[in-house]
Amino acid sequence: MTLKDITCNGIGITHHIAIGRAVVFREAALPEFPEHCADREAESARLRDAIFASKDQLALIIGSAQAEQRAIIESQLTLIEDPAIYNQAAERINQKGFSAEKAIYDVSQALYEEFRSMDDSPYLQERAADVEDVGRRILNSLAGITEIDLSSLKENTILIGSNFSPSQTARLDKNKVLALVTENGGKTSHTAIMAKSMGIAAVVGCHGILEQVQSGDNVIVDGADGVVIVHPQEHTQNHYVQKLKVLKQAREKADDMKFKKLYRLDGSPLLVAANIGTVEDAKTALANGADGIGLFRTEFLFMDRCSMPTEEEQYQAYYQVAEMFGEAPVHIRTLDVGGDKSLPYLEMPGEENPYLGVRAIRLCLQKQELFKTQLRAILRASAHGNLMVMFPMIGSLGELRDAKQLLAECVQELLAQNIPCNPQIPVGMMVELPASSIMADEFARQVDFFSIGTNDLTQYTLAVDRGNLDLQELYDPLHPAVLQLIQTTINAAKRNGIPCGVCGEMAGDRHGIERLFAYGLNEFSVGCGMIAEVKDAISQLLLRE
Amino acid sequence: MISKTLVITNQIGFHARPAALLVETAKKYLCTATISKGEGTADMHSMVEILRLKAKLGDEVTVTMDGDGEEEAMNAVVELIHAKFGEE
Repeated sequence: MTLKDITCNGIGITHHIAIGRAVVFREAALPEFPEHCADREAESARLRDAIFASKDQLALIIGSAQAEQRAIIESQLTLIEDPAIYNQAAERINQKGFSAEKAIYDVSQALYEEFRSMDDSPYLQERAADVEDVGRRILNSLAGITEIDLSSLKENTILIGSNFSPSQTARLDKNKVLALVTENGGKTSHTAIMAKSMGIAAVVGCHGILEQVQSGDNVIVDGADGVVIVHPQEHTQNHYVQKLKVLKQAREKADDMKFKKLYRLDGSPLLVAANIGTVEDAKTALANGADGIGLFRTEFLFMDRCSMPTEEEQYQAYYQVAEMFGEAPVHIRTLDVGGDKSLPYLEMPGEENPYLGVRAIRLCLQKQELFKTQLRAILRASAHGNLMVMFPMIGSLGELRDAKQLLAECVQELLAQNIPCNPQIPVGMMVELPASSIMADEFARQVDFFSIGTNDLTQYTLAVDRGNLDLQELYDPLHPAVLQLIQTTINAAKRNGIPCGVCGEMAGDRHGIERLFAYGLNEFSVGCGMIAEVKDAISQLLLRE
Repeated sequence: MISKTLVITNQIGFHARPAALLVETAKKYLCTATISKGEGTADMHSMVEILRLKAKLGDEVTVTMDGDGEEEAMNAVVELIHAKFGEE
């Protein structure tokens, strides 16, 4: 036990506080091992056991692995039992008296080098990594190092790692994880977005945390101040227990807000809707009092799998959400991949500047089959609720026209086949490029609604990569240039009599809400866990109005 | 003992997935199974040895089975190679 609190600073994400046990997700350092063994027979048995244990681990991982990684794990499963590996290692133990560690290390290292040097076949060269991985897994088993399984965590877990990927967090049990802490990543990293939608504490970009913390350590995560405390002293712990209590009471008060309907003085309704990615999220949103869905990110249906979701699969998801929300609006955004998200089954050549490349609507207009499949699924679901479709990354009237043309084709096809749909489905666009914001008046005449994506609008206006930690200071959604574009867009929508919403991080930030409210915005869309909080903030602004 | 010479028709040749499928198939039978290309011969129970053959599209390989169930084993492997290991 240390006598002083160990404190690490990072970027606080949600205004939550968590006190729990650390589970640190990292590559363990390989312990030193003896070169020789005393009992050759016993050593061979140790090796066999370790191989069996490793095999079991891989078999377990396959069960919860994402589709594209399943093939890799399957081939590793074959490698781990490979006689070429086992026989050679066993030979070294039996004939040279090596330890199991030394034997497997040498064999896997030699194979690694062998594959590594296959210059004539880049594909086989890549297998070097698998051989190394398998060797490492067996060595870990010999050393008794167990891998952390993110899908089966204990209660009160505070998960700490370098960064978490969508597929890792997708397997998290939301009832067990109290907080997420990452050494890397910024305010808009996947981890941050995930923490918001889960409504749990999070600190990202927490430099040095991995050096300070061990699994099992008592840890406090203060999302409001962006502080992580390892081994808190008693008085620190008490301070936070107290703070947690106050926060809980405040949250309970805010919870009373969640089903409240808000109206401006002139009687116009103020909607607080939710951003969702899955049907599961939609249920949470509904339970948390969302007045609708402001942003349904459909890319989650397309990720973590090895083939395109069929029209039927997509229809099922869209239909369930539409039906769940009944009269309340559900805004579905068509596929937004490219940039930082790629799909294994779609040929997406590497680009110099992915964020300025073939992403979102640009990709969909190039892959019309994929796009039309999604549009058909959305249209079919539109027969069952108040669905609206919106196109991401629209920068020119031409793109909008092409997208609308394809939608119209799909409507005709469905009508010709007597398949129910809403031929008058409202069509909107994301305003997230400065170009579309500046020309908002022109666009407003061509669509039924706007949705401002403040994350992308900020990064494209300021030319700041939102994932770049070194530029965190420059990434400012409240920059006057960004605010001016937002205001321009809201005004253009008003002039043309169409609704306008905001679905970026800004709609969930107190300062952001204040500005947006003042600009006359009536539709806020935020993470599922923040609805009550945002309604509370808006109702306070209404009192001042 | 039976042997058969075949031409590889799948695009990428004996990479990890086809190799794993060959191993998986060979393991279902009691007979010994080898596959060779030119000078090299691989035990069909070893993915590493199969990968070492570096067999590519258009290469000729010889499959040899010896022991119980050699006919069935041969048929299964031939079918796998002809079906291009399920590749598109």
